Amino acid sequence: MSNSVVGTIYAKIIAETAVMSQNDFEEYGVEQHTLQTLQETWQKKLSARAIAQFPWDPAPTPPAPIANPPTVPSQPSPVSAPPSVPHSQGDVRVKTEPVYENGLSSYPTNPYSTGGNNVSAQQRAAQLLQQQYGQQANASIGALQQQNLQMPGRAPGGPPIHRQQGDPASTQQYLREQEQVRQQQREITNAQTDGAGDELHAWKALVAERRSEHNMMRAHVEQLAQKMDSGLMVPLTEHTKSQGKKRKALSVIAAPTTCHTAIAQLDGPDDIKEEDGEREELDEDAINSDLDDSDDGQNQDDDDDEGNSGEVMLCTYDKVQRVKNKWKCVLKDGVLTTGGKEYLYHKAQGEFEW
Amino acid sequence: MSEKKDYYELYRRSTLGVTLLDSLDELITARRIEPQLAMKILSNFDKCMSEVLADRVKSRLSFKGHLDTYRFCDDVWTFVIKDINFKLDNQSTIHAEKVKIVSCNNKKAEEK
Repeated sequence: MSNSVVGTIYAKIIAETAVMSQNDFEEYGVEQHTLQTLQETWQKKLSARAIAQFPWDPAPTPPAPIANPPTVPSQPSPVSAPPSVPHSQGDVRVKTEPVYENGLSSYPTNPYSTGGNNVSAQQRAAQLLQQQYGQQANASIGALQQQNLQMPGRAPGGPPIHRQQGDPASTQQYLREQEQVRQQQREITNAQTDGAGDELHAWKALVAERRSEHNMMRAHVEQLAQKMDSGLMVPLTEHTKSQGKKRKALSVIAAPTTCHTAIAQLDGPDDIKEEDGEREELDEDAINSDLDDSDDGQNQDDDDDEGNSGEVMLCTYDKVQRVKNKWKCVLKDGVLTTGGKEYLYHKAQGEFEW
Repeated sequence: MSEKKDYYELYRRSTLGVTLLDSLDELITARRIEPQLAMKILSNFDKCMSEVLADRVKSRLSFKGHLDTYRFCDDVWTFVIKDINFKLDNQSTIHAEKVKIVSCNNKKAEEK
């Protein structure tokens, strides 16, 4: 277990996740540049936490790709130079490629990259058209490149993918592109391009839930409550952390009542707070059983405090044994966050008594 | 499809996972990616994190402490250990007042 490996290991995980997500980005018609941005934001946020020394921290390499987005203002008109279409594609690729490769060069053994991945889906589609239809395809390629150029500058409020609806050429392009992506992946997943629907809501809920572990729940609950018109969420917004603490004092006098979330607001806000505490701990299984609630008030105190301190070990277990009050466990593949630093281990042995 | 379900989402709660979530949320808020894509990236992250941790990390650790709370629910162990001492590979020790351990079954991850 060591803090020194954290930087390189995390860099590896980031790079691998990025590589694995490339196909997904293509499938959803999102530029690789966005993936690059995601990677940079991710790294920046990690550095801000200062949990370890990261390989990208001292090196001034990351700014270069940012300064070079694949917007090509001086792109030659494809119609005016039909035979040089492959060359102009080459221009586009020269612009995008450094962005792409800089981010991934830290991960040399790349099982997912194929040769074609260096070229964006649109470029591949254009090449395919060029091969199949020769000169006739120039108009389509022009439309495709036009679209490629428009994408970085699209309005932020607009849908993520701006496609020229009704234009048969570009629709055909899109179909071809999709077909190619499918062939590559051998996995048919329809990219939903009609904007965010229920998924956005689900995402917000997920984000809110995860962040609750890092004390940002309140802001998000307020946000959620504004979105949901049902009065169910309203009492939550009125309760601050300090009121949660008061509850514990109150619960000494009045025995903690166990109560279902659906009717929680009828008998006061405290149980909702309890539910939050539970979710913090068991968010994956999400069994907020009555037994857990009524078990011991002290338990909730611990969980609340736990969230604050952020001293957490996440791992898998091989063995957990108990003899009387002596416990022994063998844990694997763990991440330990303590004292503002993070540590990784392959195997851990713990002994503790209750 | 089923492949993605087989990795624990446990590590999304780590610093690495939370920072990824924040970054994705920024992109979604800016309308640059869709939530579905973000979900996919998260499940990619689950897979990568599990695999890299299992394959690349070799270090070991031992710890002792006083068990304050334990819970076993849905194959997940949760311990709250107080006054805990970690012993690292290089013989140095770290002390913490209180650490929560959340641990999923290692077997299930391999069975798939």
